[in-house]
Amino acid sequence: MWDARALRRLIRLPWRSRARIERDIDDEFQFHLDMRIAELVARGLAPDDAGREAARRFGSVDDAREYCRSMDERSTTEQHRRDLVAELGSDIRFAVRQMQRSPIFTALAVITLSLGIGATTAIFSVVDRLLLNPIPFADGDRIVNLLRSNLEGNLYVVPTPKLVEAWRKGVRSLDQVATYGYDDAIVAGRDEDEEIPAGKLSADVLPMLQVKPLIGRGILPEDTNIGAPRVVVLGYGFWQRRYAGSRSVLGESITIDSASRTIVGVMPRDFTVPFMDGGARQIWLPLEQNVEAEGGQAIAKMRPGVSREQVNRELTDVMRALGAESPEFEEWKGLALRPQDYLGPMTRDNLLILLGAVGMVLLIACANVANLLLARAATREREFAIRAALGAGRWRIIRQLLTESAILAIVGGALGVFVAHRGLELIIAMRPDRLSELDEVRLSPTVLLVSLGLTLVTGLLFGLAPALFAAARDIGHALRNTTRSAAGHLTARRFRGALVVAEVSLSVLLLVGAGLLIRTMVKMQRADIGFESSGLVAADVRLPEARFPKREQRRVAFEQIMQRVRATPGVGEVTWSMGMPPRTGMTFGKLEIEGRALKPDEQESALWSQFAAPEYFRVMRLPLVAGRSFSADTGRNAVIVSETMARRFWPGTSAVGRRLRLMEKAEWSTVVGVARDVTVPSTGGKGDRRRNLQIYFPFSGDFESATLIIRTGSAVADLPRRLAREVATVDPAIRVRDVTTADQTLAKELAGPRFNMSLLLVFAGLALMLATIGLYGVIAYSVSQRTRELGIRLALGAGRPAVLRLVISQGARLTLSGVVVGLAAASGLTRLIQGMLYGVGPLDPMTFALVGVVLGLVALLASYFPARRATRVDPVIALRAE
Amino acid sequence: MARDPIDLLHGTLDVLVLKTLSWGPQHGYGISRFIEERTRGVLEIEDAALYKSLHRLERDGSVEAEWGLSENNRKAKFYRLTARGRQELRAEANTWRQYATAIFSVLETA
Repeated sequence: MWDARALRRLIRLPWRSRARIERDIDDEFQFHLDMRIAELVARGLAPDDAGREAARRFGSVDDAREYCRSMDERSTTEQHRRDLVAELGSDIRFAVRQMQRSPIFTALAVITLSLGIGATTAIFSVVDRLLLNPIPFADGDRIVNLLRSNLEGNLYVVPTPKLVEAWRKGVRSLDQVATYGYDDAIVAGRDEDEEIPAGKLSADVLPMLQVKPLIGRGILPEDTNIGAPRVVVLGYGFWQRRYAGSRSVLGESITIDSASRTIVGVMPRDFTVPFMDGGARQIWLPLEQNVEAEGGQAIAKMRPGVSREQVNRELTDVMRALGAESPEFEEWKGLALRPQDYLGPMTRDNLLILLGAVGMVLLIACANVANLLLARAATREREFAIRAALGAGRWRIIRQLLTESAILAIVGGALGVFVAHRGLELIIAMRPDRLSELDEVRLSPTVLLVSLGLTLVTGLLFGLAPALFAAARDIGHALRNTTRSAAGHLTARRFRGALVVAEVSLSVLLLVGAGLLIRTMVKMQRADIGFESSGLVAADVRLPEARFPKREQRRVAFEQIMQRVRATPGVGEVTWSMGMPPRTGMTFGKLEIEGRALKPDEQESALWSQFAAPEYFRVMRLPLVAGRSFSADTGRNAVIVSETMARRFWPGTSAVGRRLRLMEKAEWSTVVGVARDVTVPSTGGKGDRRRNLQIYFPFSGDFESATLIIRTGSAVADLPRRLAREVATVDPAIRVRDVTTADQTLAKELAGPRFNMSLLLVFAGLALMLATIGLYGVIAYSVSQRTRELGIRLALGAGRPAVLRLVISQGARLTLSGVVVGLAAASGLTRLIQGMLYGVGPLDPMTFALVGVVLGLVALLASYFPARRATRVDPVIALRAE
Repeated sequence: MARDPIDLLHGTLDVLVLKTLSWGPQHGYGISRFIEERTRGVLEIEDAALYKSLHRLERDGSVEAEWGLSENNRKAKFYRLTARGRQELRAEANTWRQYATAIFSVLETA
């Protein structure tokens, strides 16, 4: 009886139910009483007496039954737990052995999963940070940026301290209001002064964000009083770099902007203030409470449950009330903005498109894993059948398969975390300038958990499918069928074929998208921008106000600098402007054209503006199509306009000699010339036509900083240093910064499209790779299953080319269906990325054709290797096998 | 090996059951008969207490139970000593021997 223990463990009885336990106890007691009575009767007692005596000797049946029941229930539960642990252990051991036995399958599945999950996690982290949870602080979803805007809503300006104060007192839907500003500060170093980005905080910023300094204290209210002792709170990076993270910095002095300040604290790593542009600040200073100051950023926390519309209304109401005494507020309204409002619809759409693209990659990865698991399940059919015959329950086999896929999913997920980490670094490295928020993106624990969950679900789902396939099969049928006859069940084979078709079509979709974006990049880089950018270098030159307080002094300094630089070897021509196109200024105002009534929307035109020295157009090689450039004796009231602007406001006639003004009752300015449009390629269909409304004003000594534009003969090495040296001979206080070429500036304009293109290209590449793996897997599997059939064909005289064709045509059929479906889907879906395209239509035939060809080639390659193996089948061995 | 004497007496039945099972698997009635015969009727154990002991030992993992057929072809629950039960028996028997020796050494000095 005890010899059957091994068997009993294999076919374990289900755990006993409560009713079963009670019945067992009753049976056991009944057996005992019956035996006892029989014994007593045998000794000569009358049956009635024997029954009474047996009951007496048993004692309290109820008590014993109750006790035994509680014991049995406990041991059943414990047994249950022990069995589970033991079975899980054996499942895991078995799964690991299975994986070791087929390392290629395991590697493919794990790589597939980790790429899919890693890419999804990285992109989702970005979306999470930029769209879903843009302010990573306590109650971040209630933090808004307070601005005022003109009534047309096309101009946003930061509020003045007076207005902030009025809002703080008057807007009931806001809980807290804080202000901050930023500027560059010059920190005295041991050898050389250093210019670093600094932030200025009011005392309520840190409490609102509920951020505590890493060490020391933050900015306190008394620090912001005028004339208070000067203090500074260090940023984490600066603290690490300059003080090597020493905790004894507290109390030390540091010279900032020529004044000594006491270090009172250090902020945590990654600390930044919401809505702050230009990335991390290195030091934090108190923002002086100066009502007369120009104003800075204002942030506020809305009360819980308050809508932004309500806040906007109250902000505007307060401004109206204020407008009664200060008319400058009358034509403004108040606005509370969230970070998402700054991203603009383009960025938001781009992110969603990227999310969609990465979702497709994940889908392909899932399909691939499903395919691999299904293929393997088919080869293991006999194994399952044998195990079922030996008494393993259906549930047990399903659980075994689930364990295997869960292990795959966990390993793939762990590697996926690594991929996500590196992917995020890559995304941050590629980011365009204006998405500086990306620097703060971290793999959030939530996102990590979500994708780990995703992994598990993926693994379990696709582990379950083959498990159900296997479990649903009749055992005897599977056992009779040897592997040679089971060339894969028709349904399973069709399902796997469909998976490959789906993978191929998703890759086609992504490749078409990536292809269109590549064409966009090429078109944008080749676009005619109006001037000749190669060989142009720009440098920001700043004349410190303290040294050059008067306009005339600055004018002379600008002139001297130009002379010095022009004499530098390698430098061709030199001119002054404000910024390198397309990064120049904008002018808002009420445009008036003499002798022509403008419609209100024309009046409000925002014009792209530039200040140009007389040589500007020659140096830029930006041709004047009419009139002439400014000259030394041009008055201040001359302007040059772009072709588009001339056509728009003086249609049919020459603009030269006509007059316009940008402010009511200002002096009229005379158009002296018409320049070619400076056209910067931009995505989004037609682009902004207003961008080509350009106006040039004569450059004067009005500014304390200006852009020096140089046309160099050849690539000049160490130009920045030479420039600095030449400029220093004019005056050592003059600073030269940001020496960049025009091509670099243009490249930055294209950074956004290039970013989109690179990401989509990476996804498309991943998709193609995964789909290839999938296709290869299906063909290779089918060849291994058809060894006997192929052997017979060869034995009957089919030539090797015929067998090669047979196998490749199978791959070709799947690929062709996938390509057709994918191209059809693409022709419907590329409309969605129309906003990301330039100079190429969403149905660009060249891209579509090329993608079809690329996929065809890849598919050919993926089926060629298994096909070649098929032709090497030795008919004799193939027939003898099994 | 100081132990509470009450605890020791409580364990008495358990150790007798374990000892009985060390000769081979047996059902509850068989165990009861075996102990009666061995002690020549001096220890008449209440059956309820015996079954409590058996189920307690089963929970502790000292015995395993299995349904089988009795000598008169009836379905009966058989108990069998596990490795752990064997260990337990050795330890308990030792304790008992020491205990009994101690008691005797007191009683015999009179």
